[in-house]
Amino acid sequence: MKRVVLLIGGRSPAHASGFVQAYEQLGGRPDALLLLEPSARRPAWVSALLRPLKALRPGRWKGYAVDLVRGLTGTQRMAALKASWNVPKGESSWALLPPGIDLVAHAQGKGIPVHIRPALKASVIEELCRQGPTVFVLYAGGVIPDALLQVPGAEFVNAHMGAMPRYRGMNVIEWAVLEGTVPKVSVMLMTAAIDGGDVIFEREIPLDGERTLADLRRTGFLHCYLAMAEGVFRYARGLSVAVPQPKGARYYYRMHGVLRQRSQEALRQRTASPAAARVAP
Amino acid sequence: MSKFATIKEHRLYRPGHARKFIGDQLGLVGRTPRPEQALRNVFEWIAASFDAGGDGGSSAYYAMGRGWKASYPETTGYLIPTMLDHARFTGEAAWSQRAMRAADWLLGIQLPGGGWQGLQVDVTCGPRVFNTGMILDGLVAAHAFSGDDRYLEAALRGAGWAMEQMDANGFFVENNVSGGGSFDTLVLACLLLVARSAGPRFPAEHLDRIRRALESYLALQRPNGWFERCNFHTSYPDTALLHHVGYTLDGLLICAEVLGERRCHDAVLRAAAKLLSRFEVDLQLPAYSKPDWSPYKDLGGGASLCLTGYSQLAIVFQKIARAEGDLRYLNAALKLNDIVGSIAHFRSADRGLRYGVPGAYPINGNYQRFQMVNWAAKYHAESLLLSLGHGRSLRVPA
Repeated sequence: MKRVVLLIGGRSPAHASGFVQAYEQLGGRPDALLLLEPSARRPAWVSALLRPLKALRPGRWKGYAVDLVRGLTGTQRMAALKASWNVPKGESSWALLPPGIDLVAHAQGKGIPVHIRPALKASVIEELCRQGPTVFVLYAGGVIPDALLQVPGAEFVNAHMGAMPRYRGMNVIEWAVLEGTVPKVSVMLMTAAIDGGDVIFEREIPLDGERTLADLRRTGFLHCYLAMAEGVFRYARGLSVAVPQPKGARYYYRMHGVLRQRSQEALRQRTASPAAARVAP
Repeated sequence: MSKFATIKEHRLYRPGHARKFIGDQLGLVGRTPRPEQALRNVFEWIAASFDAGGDGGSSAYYAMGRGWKASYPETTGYLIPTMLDHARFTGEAAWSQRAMRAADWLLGIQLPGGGWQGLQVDVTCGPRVFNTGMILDGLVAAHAFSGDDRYLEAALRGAGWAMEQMDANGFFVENNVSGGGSFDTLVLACLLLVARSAGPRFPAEHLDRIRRALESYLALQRPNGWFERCNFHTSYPDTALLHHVGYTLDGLLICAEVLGERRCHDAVLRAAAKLLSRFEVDLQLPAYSKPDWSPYKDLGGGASLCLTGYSQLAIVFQKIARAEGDLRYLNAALKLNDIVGSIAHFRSADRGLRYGVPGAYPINGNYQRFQMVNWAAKYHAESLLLSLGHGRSLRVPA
């Protein structure tokens, strides 16, 4: 059996908390928790005092001047135009999932070792892999550097809100709804290729009355951690194998507002009747 | 050139000019207009470009330094179908009247041999194949709209002249822009549009030669989708200008449509897939690309954008989205439209500046620097019309 280490970027991320609870319900128990946390944490009152001083740094002046011109001319930054295609702020996992538990306290209460490190380095991973092959359940975001992926015995796992290889990239649950396919979660071993790793688990995301894309994403996040828990539970115990992705990958990108609207309309049509929610994959 | 010389040459001391230049340097653009608003904006500028010439043609560009340029036969030609589409979309007869006046103007300046001159009418220039091809597009549209045979007759004469310029390999080296290149796929496409309109009046041997010529053009595409000889301008050797990539792709798509030639469509898909991923990852495309599609940095540390190319690509992407049912291309096209529409959303009392689409962003980029060009306006308008469900359709080749 492989060891399971939860790799988190904060003490109480909602989806990592959801994973731990679901994993424990299945009868699993993480072998360790690796928390990435800058060691020199400044007291909040110091940060509050420094904030106005930071705002006066010379490097910020150009930004203020641009904002002044922007205000006077009724324009926008090109960067703001491009940012308008990002997922709205209220649709992140932080905003949509209920607050998570304090995972450090939870782990300590259950006797699970907690390792707090300022940054993710190969030496840290090597240290944790000394006791045997280890699956790192990733809730720290970002791309894993190649040096870490090469550490013997280490495997990094993430969950993605799309069927592989058809739905690689961004906003894939919205794209799946727009294209009339069944949304799925894939749990994958991470490789250097983005969303290109072997799949260890896949499940459908059942839709049930979601009306908005925020509802859809909430359901997606929920099923991501449930699938992660089940996928890691089975994989660590040798009950499933990693399956390479077949050819035919498609990458999706940030969805334009016009298509977001269409996706939302498609969602409403699909969830209006239970029969419509089931469509061909 | 010193900063003072630049200010003097491009009249950057004028408030509107200065606002445009400084805004671009600061990365500021207009608020994103809705497509309907962007369409009104761009046609307001197009109207100004026709009014500036006063001869029935559209002024080639508004240069910040020298004002309106003389009328440009080539781009007036391909503005005709766009204005007719706009007239159908809005129900405003003034646009079809303007289009037909432009067609009459083109009939009046056709050269005795059948071709049309290159460049603008205030410049002495012999007949050019590429320019003639674009005018054929306009005359075919004018004929379809009015049923007046004079336009088709002129188009057939123009097509005959262009076919005389085609060499044994199918290229248009003589009497052409920069000795021809992959962008001449759009000339072939316009010849095919004439053939489609003229039916048996279009010589069958010409059709055979066009089919054979396509082989040569397809051979200019490298395995990674990039096209050789895809830049009118020789200032940056071995680069492709996005505007000319746009001509090439649109030409191939029309050839695919008219001839039912799937290979042309596949060639477009090869390039479009690269451009789609590059655009979506970087959220911008350089004006000039090297053979591996990497940017050529025409601004020293960075690369400018070619807005005409952006709109042409948005058109190509929308056509692919329809043909392939792949909404990722529509997604990118909508973003490209937003970028161009926001940059052009510039209010000014100066009709040349107001809502004009610049050749480059920032405006001091290499391509058509400090100029609002009518061909950028044409393609932006056509792309917006397509996004609103109007404009020329595309059949999927069998």
